[in-house]
Amino acid sequence: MANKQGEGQEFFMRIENPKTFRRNLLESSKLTLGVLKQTYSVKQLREMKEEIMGMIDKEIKELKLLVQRLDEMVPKHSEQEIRRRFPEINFRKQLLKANLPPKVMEKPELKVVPVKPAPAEVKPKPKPKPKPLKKVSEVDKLTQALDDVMYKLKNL
Amino acid sequence: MISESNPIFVKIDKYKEILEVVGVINKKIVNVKQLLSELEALKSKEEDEIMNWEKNMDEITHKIELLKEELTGD
Repeated sequence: MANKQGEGQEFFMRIENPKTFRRNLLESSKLTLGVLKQTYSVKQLREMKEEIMGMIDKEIKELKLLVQRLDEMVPKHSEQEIRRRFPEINFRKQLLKANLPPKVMEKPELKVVPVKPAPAEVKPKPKPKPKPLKKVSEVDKLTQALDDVMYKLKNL
Repeated sequence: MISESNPIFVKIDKYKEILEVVGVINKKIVNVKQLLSELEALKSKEEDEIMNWEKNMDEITHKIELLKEELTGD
């Protein structure tokens, strides 16, 4: 409890439990310093996080390049292109020579048909996207790359 | 596009190169996974710190309230 003592210019407060008051004050001060210390600790943790995120970013960019390289190394000629380039090779005869079951031969014929209309449906979608974008940001580039991959996956 | 049922043939030198690239990719993936787990650990540490922060702030508020009560006699 606090009471006003004296009149005029000077005022005095009576503190009932000075020890408790002082303890509370010191404990508040201690906690405040603790919070400040924690602030530095959190800042440090965030710096470490940023550093690790940077490393992850770098690794993922390198991974992207490696996957692109891998993609370039794997042959991607279509059956029709191979037939055009090497007309002397008869694929049907080759497959028969290899004693492959007839089902294997039938599959490509069946699959070639549905593959043709698919690009016609999907192709127009990614094309209009890059045209309106004049300033291509990093995110846009990534989105475009993702679209390309999705397109390739759809046409597999 | 090459249909699933048809095999593809890769030159031996390219094949070796492909294996090397795949090896490097695997190493990188392991590294990224490790980095991600480190990041996760740091994240949970940060969350703990912030929880403590809030707890301490509540305690400070309580102590200050007590001081205020002592001073004002409320």
